[in-house]
Amino acid sequence: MKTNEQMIADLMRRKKEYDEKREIRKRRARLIVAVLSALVIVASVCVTAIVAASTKAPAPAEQTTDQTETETDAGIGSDPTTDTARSVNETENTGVYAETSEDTEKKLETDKPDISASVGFSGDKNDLIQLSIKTHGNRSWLTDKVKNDYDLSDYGYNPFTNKSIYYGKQETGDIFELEITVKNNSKTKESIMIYIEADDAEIISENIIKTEIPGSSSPDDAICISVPVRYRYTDGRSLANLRYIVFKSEKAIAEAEKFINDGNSVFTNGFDVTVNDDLHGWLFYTQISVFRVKDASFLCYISYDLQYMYEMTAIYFGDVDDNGVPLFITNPDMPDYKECPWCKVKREASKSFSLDRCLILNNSKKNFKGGIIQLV
Amino acid sequence: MDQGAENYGRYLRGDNAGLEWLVREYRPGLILYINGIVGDMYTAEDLCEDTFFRLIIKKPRFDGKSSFKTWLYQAARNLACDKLRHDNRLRRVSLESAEQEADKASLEDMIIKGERQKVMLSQLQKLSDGERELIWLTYFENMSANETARVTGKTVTSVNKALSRAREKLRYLMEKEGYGNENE
Repeated sequence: MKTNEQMIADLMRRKKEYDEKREIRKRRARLIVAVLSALVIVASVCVTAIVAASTKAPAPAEQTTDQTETETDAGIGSDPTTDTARSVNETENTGVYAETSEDTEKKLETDKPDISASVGFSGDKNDLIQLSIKTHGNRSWLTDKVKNDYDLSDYGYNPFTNKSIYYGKQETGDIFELEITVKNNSKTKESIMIYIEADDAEIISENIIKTEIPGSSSPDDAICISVPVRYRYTDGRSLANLRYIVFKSEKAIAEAEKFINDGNSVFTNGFDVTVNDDLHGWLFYTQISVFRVKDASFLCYISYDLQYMYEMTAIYFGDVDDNGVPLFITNPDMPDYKECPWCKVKREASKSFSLDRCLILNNSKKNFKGGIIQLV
Repeated sequence: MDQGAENYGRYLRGDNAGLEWLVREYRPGLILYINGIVGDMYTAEDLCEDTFFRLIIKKPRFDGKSSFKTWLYQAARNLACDKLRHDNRLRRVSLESAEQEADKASLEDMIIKGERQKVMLSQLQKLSDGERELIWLTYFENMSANETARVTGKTVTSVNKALSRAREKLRYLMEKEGYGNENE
């Protein structure tokens, strides 16, 4: 009979084998889809050629209208190829390295003549991509209680979502590179825009990076893209703050980009958190995104667990009792859960940025009084 | 705090130490429990491993409606019942070897506390499959009637009734071995 250790080792070995087989199956499926897509395109080209050839022959007047429509359709059908090519160029320009091929998916988008869709998102029900950060060391802006209670000391995560972001870091001379990896577990591709800014560091790469993450064939798998962010410290020491936020949805991306390009800041600068030099001082807003629209600052939590969000909010603003216990512990079963006067969960896409499932709080005066903020 | 759920959550978040904890904590009892159903230690061990394997591959959502242990035992029981159906209940043909007996005794040493439980365990073999399962879950795994009902897929009332009957039989058997009321 096996020992515990032997069983654990066997389980790990079996899991590895299972993952490898699943990966092979996935590749095979992608190959089949690619072949089928190619066949569809070839067939479409053939049909187009036949129809085009038939237009050269004399035809009755009523057939001319049909031919015009057919030509239009054929034109749309040829777009995906262009779409793919442009998308690749855009991806290269932004320095984004996609790990998986998205050609197949794009070729199927025969109903989208708008090439710009490659950096947009067609859906309406979108939320921000979950932020989840792996930090160096155990210092962060989170309080000890939060770190301990939510196991966020080394690795920020959210068990309620299948999207996450993490990063790795390396240095060459005085150039540092931070790699933000964005995962997508959903079946559909997602367009994202990452906005990055820093204090005491010069961002050498682009501040705004737009790209797409292909959908994954299996809900258990994540498709990742890695976005390299290169920077140089400007304060003469290894200490800087980095802030980034990930937008998705066509509307959010477009509006946010315009907002940023108009010279507005997305983040507040009110964080009095520093970390030691040996940790390079990188500060991340993990599951919380902070941004400012007009004169109001917003704290955006992305979580399906409202009670967790309330507690995090209370801890963040120091609304805790003498023992560090948050004062705003809200039981979802209690009536005041939905009638909370100082908070609001936006369950529907906002008119402006898409903030589905985000808790939005007004912190414009750094004095947390509460209130429901509507984005305008 | 349900440590099982906590460690399962750790595993889901990518920490294999969570899985290691689950295996160390539940493996012995789970094998013995499954053995009570399939009647073969090696099959029980395989099914136990399969239970954990499904856990790490499928990563099913633990809804928290019961303790993690109850949930795990329920899954293991389902697997064992499937195995029995698949094998057309051939287990009775299988004879436990001396090696299996030794393995079983080794696992039982991890679970069984005191001489009294040892005697009780030996007398369990004289009960029916269903009765043995109920007694095992109740007295050796310390599950409540609710938890036992959840694992076995029965109602609490029927569990209580069957448990009462099994207890009576066991009391009689224990008394024959010189032990009084098993609740004492």
